[in-house]
Amino acid sequence: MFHILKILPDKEALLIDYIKENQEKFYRLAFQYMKNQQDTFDVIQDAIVHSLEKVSSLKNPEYIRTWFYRILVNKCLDHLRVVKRITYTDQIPESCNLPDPSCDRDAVLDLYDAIDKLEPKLKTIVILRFYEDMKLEEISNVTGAHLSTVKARLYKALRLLRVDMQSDALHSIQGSNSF
Amino acid sequence: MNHEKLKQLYEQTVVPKEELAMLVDKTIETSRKRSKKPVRILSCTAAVVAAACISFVITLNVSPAFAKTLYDIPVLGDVCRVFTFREYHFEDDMKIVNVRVPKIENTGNTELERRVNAEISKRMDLSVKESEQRAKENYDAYIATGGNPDEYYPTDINVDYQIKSCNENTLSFVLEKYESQASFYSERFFYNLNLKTGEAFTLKDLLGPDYQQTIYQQVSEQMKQLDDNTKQLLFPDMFTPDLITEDRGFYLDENGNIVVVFEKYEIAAGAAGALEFPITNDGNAGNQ
Repeated sequence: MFHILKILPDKEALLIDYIKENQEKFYRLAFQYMKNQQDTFDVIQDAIVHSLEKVSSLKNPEYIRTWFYRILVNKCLDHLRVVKRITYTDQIPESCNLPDPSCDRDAVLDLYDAIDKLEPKLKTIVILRFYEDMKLEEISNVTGAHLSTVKARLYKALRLLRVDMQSDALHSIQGSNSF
Repeated sequence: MNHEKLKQLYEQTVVPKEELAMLVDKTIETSRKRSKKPVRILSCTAAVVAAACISFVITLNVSPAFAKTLYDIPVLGDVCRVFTFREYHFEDDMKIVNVRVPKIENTGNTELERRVNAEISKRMDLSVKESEQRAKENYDAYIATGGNPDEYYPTDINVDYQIKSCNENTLSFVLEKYESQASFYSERFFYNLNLKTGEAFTLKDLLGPDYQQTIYQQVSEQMKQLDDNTKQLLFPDMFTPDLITEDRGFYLDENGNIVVVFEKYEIAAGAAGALEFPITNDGNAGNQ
């Protein structure tokens, strides 16, 4: 009992520091789903309240990042289910088929837009993998999905995005952090 | 694919840093306060209960009348099971938002609690969002027509709740949202829960299949007895049996009466406000 009492405030303090340090990252991540400031604020607020309530369930402070991201991502997905404002398609528009001199730059922009249009579950994997540089094991922890499911989803997303699977993608499947 | 470029685009997401920091600080602050609250409430209740026990002992010995009234006092388990779950305040140029969202607990039916709590928070979030949207439209229209932003009075958006009754079997409460600017919108959601079965009470459950007629007759009767001022405000011919459906708002008062509610403007001019009529169950139907 005394043991628990002693540890709890530390975890809470740790969590608060972590939230304050990374709030802008949370914003960027949540914004990918919510697409407007108000909704993004709402989910961040929800996630913070939830995390502080459940801080005792954070077993190992080393995992604070995946633990918090799990809450945040879940809040985003929950919120999307409620709002249902955005529609997703499995079809990604043909990229880079317009005659454009700056095709390289545009290809990246197209890809960025295409990621944005992925259905939420696939999008989560891609965001965590490419924007947050998480390892597949970590993504599996965040999403609560099995490692093989994460891999399958990543493959599916990459196929939809028409990313060259031979090069970058395969690299990422192996869980390497470098590109 | 150029991963670095892609990531750069992501990093370029515009972050409203100051507002975000404010929101985060405020949320942390209020959450921490709240998480400490239960302890305070507990010790507080304990003190009150202790004090009450002492005075009970004394008064019981002194006053036989008091001893009798004690029988009517519900058991301590009855201390109401609805409490504020989320409370927040937010304001900007367009709106001032005050929200108090309730959560139910300790009903002995966790499945019901989870369902109702999720429903409440979903419904309120959506409702507040609609209000915020309206507030934004108002503001935009005001600015677009050349209004001075400094003189704009932001829309008030308030969410609150009222507990109507609470005992071993039933829990009845109302969620209210009102929003005021030039006009006044309000929305109310009634919750009447049967804690035994985990279901919501319906008018049919309580009054039997003829609930429509029962309510219509009793309300018509009561309308005749309203004071003259209110009577004048009633819209003629607006009150018809069709208005009484399964969705009609009602609550259960402390005495177990069913109180049927008609919202503002529904059957009478705005000045009359919302009208409420208690309905007695004449015993030929329903099982309460």
